[in-house]
Amino acid sequence: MFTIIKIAFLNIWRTPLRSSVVIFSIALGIWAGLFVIAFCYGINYQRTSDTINSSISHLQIHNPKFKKDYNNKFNLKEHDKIVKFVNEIKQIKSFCKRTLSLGMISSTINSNGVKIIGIEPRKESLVTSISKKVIEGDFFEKKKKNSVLIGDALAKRLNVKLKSKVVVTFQNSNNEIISGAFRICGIFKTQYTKYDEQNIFLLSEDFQRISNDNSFHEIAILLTDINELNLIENKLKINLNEYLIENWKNLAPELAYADQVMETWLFLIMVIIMLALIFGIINTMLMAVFERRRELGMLMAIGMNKFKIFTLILYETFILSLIGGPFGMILAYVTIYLTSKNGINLSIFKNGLESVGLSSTIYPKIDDNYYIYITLLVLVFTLFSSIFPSKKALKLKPTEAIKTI
Amino acid sequence: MKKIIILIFLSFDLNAQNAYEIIEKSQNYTIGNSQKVDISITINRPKWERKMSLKAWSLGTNYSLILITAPSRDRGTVFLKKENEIWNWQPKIERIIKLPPSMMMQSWMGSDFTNDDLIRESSILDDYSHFLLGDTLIDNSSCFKIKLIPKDDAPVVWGKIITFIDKSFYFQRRSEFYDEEGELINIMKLSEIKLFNNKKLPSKITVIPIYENPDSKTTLIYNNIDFNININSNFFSKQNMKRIK
Amino acid sequence: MKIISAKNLVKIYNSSNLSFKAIDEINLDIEKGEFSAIVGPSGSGKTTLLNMIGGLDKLTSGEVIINNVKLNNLNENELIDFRLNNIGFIFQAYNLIPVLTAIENVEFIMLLQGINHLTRKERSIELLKYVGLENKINSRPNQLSGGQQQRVAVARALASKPSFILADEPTANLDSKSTNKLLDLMAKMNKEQNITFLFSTHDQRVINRAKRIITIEDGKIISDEKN
Repeated sequence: MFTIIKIAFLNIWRTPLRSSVVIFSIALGIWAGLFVIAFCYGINYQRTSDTINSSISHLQIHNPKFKKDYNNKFNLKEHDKIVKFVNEIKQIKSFCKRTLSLGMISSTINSNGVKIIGIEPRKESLVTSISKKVIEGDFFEKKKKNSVLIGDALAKRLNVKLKSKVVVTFQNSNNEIISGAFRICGIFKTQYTKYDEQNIFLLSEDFQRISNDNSFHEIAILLTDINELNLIENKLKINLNEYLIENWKNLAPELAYADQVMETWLFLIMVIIMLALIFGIINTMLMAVFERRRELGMLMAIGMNKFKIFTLILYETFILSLIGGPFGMILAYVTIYLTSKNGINLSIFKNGLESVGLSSTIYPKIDDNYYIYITLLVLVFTLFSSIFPSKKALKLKPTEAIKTI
Repeated sequence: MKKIIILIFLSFDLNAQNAYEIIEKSQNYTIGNSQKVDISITINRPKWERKMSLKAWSLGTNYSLILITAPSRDRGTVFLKKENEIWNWQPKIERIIKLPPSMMMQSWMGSDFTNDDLIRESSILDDYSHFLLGDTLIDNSSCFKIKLIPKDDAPVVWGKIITFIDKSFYFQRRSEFYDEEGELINIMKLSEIKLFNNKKLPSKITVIPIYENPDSKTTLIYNNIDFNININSNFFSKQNMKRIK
Repeated sequence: MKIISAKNLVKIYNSSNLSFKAIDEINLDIEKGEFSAIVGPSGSGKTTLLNMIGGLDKLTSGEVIINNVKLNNLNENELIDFRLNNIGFIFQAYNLIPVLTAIENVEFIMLLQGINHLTRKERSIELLKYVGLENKINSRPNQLSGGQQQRVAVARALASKPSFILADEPTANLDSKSTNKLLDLMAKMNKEQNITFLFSTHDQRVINRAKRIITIEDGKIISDEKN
């Protein structure tokens, strides 16, 4: 056994260039696989955490009927009770109440359909990052009555600037159309141009005053640890069963979907990389077997049985991947480590990336388990690909050894 | 001295009172309790032109119904305003749709009017302070020149409106809409005075978005107006949307 | 004592439109202690005959019996095992595993037989001494001359303690000095240890040393004489 492994190992170095190419392609395969995963995972993680932090939070509470047509009638009936309950859960980092309506914002030039979000600025800034996205003016710091915070894209569309007057129109819980004049106190900009165009923020007290209704429509919750999501979600569902409790996956199914799509694509990419690897290995090993057909024939003639011949070739292939594997892992680890610290700057694609809600600097990120998965995958695939040349070796005849040259 | 100041205040007051009365009188003159109108609208954009015709019925400020008669693509489309709701009947898909508030202020069928212009009960009296600036001539007719300044909390986007009201017949001849920085945004011209049911009224209204698109305009022509027609609130029903011709 | 007995051996090679009778009804017996050579021009069938006797190739008809075992009845793996324990092979070239040293090559065959490490080591050293390569124990084949390589092959062939040794053109690539040295060695083994050798060759130097010469032409034995 040991001698066969030794022979296999020594055989590899009979053609150092060829073996190095195979080792390098295995390393490159593992590196590419891990890096692509880290890259995509990084993108998704960034997008998910951006979305969670900027708008949807981990959990939201609504009246079950509210989301159907955003009718203000369907408010959080006993929001005090919810607040009291939520306040007592220590795993909840912060939460905030909001009033919501779909409506219109108009300037002298233009008007646009928007989601009107009434907030309590101090609490909101503990839950979402919108307060940090203000690029002009401030986040309701002056506490002026009828202030509104709008997106950069919307400001351009409406041709308004700081302190401009706009009219906000929506339907209150009595189905009355109500309007109010607001002054722009700040302009925000997130990575999502569409989000900037379709959401405006005002003080919930202004919202409540002009709609003549003291209710809230949404409570957004941020947890200390996302791993406790299911636990808290269930706790809320049991205790606040008359309300609709949704986690970020329900709220932004496109994010969860993106995860799935990514997994499918990564799987495909890995299969392609592996196929390329397989073909490379099969080709190299077939060559090695063909070149040594007389030597292998001699071994069979003097009494080395087929199983041992088979394992010899298997070992040779396996040793190649055992050398290439760790090499690829180390390479991947180093590249991922370095790029995750400094980020990969894709600012040349900035516009394209931002329109789909991606930041132009990507921080690759990978779950450590993937190192094991990919390595196992590569080992399984190389083993699989070594079967073919090994079987080819079995078909050799011992008489090959005796044929005169 | 004190007397003079008081007089000035008084005259402001009188002046304001006058302006308000003029606007009120103008509103009462132009809008009847119930009416049926027959309108053609032409939308001019630098690259295209579109014409449409419609008939509209209204009762007070709470009820109105608009039937599109041309172009053929939109013929039979009906808008119903009933109190605070707007409904839309689309004959092609045979469906009645309730317009969400977000659609109310979008431009109405591509024109320079908004849905809101069609349905918003005239707040011109309540939402503005009115100042009489003097007399002037528009289309060779003597007019009051009145400045409207929106009240503090009034849900109005304009910084001010200058409106010109005919001294003899109390209809508007022209209005100019300014933003808060004094920039002229829209001009509305009313012309071609005709006699409708013994009332003299401008039959042509032109709106020019002068700030954003001076080459564009929307022209509205009243082909006919019937005042105080025999109609009640039952007329403004969803069933009737489908029947009306 | 009869070690090899071939009866009515026939080997026909079939290609798509041609069938070629390489061995035609050969009967041959080899006794213990023989030092014999199968000779004949190329294509006469001598290598094929050696392959049949060595259990390296299938017969078309007839039978080969070695040490009372009928090779026809063995499957491929049994044949390999049989070869391992009964026959020593020396080929013209490609005798040795290039990545192993001389002693490892000799040991390898005993390793396949499952002999323990210590015995392997001792016997390998002993055999290499016997073939005169005690100072080349740790040399790789590419560090050895052709003659030295063939002597390692002899040592390797002996290592498994076979009942006879088949040597296919063992001197083909050697100069006269190496050839004589190799033949001396084999003759010495034959004489001292009564080891049976069966050569296939057309090398006159080998033929001169052989005690029995079996001449083949067109797959038939045309003469079988003692030298």
